[in-house]
Amino acid sequence: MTSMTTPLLEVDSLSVTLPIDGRPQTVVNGVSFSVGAGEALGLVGESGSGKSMTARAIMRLLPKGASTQGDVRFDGTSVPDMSAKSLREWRSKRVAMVFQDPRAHINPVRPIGDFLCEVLVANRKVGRREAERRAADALRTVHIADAERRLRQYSYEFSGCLLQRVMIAAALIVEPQLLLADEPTTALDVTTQEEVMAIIDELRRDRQMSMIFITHDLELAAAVCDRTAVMYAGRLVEQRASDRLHLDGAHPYTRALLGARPSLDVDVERGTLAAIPGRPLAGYEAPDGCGFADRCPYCQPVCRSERPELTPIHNGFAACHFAEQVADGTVLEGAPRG
Amino acid sequence: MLTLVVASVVIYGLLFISPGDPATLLVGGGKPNPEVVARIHQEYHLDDPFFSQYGRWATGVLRGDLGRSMAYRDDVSHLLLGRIPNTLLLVLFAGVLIVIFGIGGGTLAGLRGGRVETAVTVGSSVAMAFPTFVVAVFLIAIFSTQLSWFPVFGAGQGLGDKLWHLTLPAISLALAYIAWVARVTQVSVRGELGSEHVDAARSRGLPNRWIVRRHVLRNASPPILAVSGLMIAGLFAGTAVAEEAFGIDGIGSLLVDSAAKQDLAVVQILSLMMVAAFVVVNTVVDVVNVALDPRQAVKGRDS
Amino acid sequence: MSAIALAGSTRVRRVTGRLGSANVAVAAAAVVAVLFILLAIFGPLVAPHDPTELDQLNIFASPSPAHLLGTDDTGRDLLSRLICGARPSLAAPAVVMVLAGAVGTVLAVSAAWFGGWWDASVARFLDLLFGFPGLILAIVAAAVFGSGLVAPVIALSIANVPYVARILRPAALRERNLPYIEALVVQGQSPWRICLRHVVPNLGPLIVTQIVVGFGYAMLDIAAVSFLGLGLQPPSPEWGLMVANGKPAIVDGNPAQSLYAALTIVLAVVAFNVIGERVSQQLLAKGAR
Repeated sequence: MTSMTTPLLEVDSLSVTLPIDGRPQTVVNGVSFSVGAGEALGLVGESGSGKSMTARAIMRLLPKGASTQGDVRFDGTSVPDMSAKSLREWRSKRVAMVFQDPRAHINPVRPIGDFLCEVLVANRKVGRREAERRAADALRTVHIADAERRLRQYSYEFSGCLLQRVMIAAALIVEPQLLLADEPTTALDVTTQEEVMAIIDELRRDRQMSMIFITHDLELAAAVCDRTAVMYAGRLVEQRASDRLHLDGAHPYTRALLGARPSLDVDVERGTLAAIPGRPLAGYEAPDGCGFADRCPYCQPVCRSERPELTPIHNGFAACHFAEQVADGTVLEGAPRG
Repeated sequence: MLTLVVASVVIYGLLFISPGDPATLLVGGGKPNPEVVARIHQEYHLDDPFFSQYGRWATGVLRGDLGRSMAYRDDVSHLLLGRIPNTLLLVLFAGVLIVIFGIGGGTLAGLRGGRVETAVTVGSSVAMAFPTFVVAVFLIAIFSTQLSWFPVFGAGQGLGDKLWHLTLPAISLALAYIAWVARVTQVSVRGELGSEHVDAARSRGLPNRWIVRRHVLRNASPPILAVSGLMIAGLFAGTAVAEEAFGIDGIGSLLVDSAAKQDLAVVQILSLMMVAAFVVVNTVVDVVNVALDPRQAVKGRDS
Repeated sequence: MSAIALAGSTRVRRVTGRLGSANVAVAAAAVVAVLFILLAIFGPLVAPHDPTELDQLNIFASPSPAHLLGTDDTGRDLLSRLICGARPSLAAPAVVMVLAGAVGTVLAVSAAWFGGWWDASVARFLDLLFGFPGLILAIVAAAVFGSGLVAPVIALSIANVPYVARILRPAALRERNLPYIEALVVQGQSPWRICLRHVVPNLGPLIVTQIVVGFGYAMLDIAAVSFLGLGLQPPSPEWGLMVANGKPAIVDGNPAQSLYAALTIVLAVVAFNVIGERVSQQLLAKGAR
């Protein structure tokens, strides 16, 4: 399903270290993937997996003291090498990010209209009136009625769902080529989640926009994105076409995530919900060998001594010594701790 | 406002709660003979019920008749007229210093971080413990014996000369507040810089100057404003000390001198002025707060 | 020899490093504060000279073995005056803050208990009075009642009540709404008893913190009142008064009296403020239960 032309975004062995408790720790470790034009990639992982940091590293929006290695190329141009001015250009025109908590990310003391128009007025020298027209249009595309009046209101006058839609509108107003969505629906309740997802999906397809969709919800990512990548302990452990993930997920972690979610069409015989024992590790907490070894039901001695690399399998990649067997389901007879 | 009226009643009533016959006080202490006392009673209607006396006083004030000082043998309004400019100048001067060094310094420290921030933090901790009269004494010690850059007494004549004379008093008045304001500003700006909406603004490629101007500063201002309100009240109190210390003829020193002489007519008027100023400043702060942060109108004042 | 010295210094450095420089500062402040308190209690016993003993032949003497800090404008020993001045200079602010604490507690607890219009009135009253400079109140009090410390002390406590009560009121409200208080009410215990035996003691740490935090500022205000000549009168060795008395001499090149007194004031205020800040930090940390 990957496009044959040069991918829009290429992430090449990206590593990120953050100062934690005074010492630099690795939170993202050698992550590589690419996103083609018009393609949606889901980036899935639990907290601490490094998925948010990856997105921020792509945008060069890391906290002070962080350092990165590896490269990020957008349309061939290396992002880490950009000058401050080019970086601003790039951020204001070609890429946009939607954040998890809209109320924290929109300045509460300024009207929404300001938030929407800023990008246009500050950098691109579009006139104020023209900017407001576009802002009203943007609000309409996310199905917010009475757009002109809404522009003059403040964020406290919007509900969470509406506010997230405003943020999406603000992201799309610049007509970016790539949208980074960092858990855009996590802070919303289930019904509004669906609404917002539907809007994002619809708009993305309309505009042929590429998207990286970050979430902890594997099913959601698989439903919305063309390809899904799974991260654990700062590394990419699997990358597949979304529709194949259910059939032959080749990494035990992926399997575990799929099995741990309650679903109406699960086999009745299974009975219990399979929770993954232990807690998710951050990049710097991972031991030698496979990061998932301690929690993996199929762990063998080799898993602790040798770290599995991403190997191609079934039209995707997986980082497991026993990827083939996991994908085929032949190792399932091992000692599953449910 | 209601507060003002109530306060004025209390202030006027002060005359009566002080020990001794009000007439004695009006004369300025000592033991006047009974005839004089009786005459004063008559002249000042001291035997009338409280509220009619109060009414007479209050209407007099509103009409511009501020009473007469016994100690200075002069109309209170006359006394005030000559001194108000000095005090106003002093307060304004100090205010300017506070804004430039306090808010300016604090903002710089918050934005730049690093050495500037450490310097401001340490400096403010030290300076906050230096009350006006201590700074005054230090400054007098330095500038009267070692350096002769500034005069240490009096208010001078003419605007330029006055500013020169008022430099040291303004510094002694302002120093502790500069420290306080700088500290509050720095913390507030720092906090805003790290906030998520600033992050979001950066992610959209907005220029740094724009972000600082439209997102950081405005959002950081409520605490600074709250502090400013308190500070202005303190400045007025501080003028009493600064003017006394430097021998300046202003409202503050008038208050102190008449308090020492127990010249209640003057003290009453001056305290009325203070309360009025206090109420006005508080109201202005409230209004500006709402203008800066529309949420305040919804939230209300009690937090 | 050098090895031992080195080991000693590294040990000191390790200890202070572990404690952190902030903790060293607090420890130092505590030592200074205790010293001042001791002086306040035992001052007159410790002072080398009588603080009011005049010696007109020996004014503005330089420091000497007999007069460790020299003498003032009337030949009185500066060191003795500073030592004996601790008592009035510290006692007055203490009274101010204790009074403010008491009145503030009463207001806050009663407001929390009775609620309704009383609470609203108290809140309004506090809002109005908050921020009004205590020094002005003190000056006016001196005008009405004559000089001396009684009137300014009362005036300053009134001025400090809003600061205390403002912090206490939400805490009192929270306490009052705790389930165990309701249980006591249901048991039929009188409100007085409940408040005195339960609510107030639970607010205790907070009250004490407010008193300590405000102490430094009260000290400054009292010193200012005395500096203006409206507090204690000569020959009292109160520090603010000493600064004022020494002022004319500065221009003549004898700044010692004023400067020493001023430095003492600052030292005491800084010490108590540092302690106050640490105490309130601890309380905040503990309060996150």
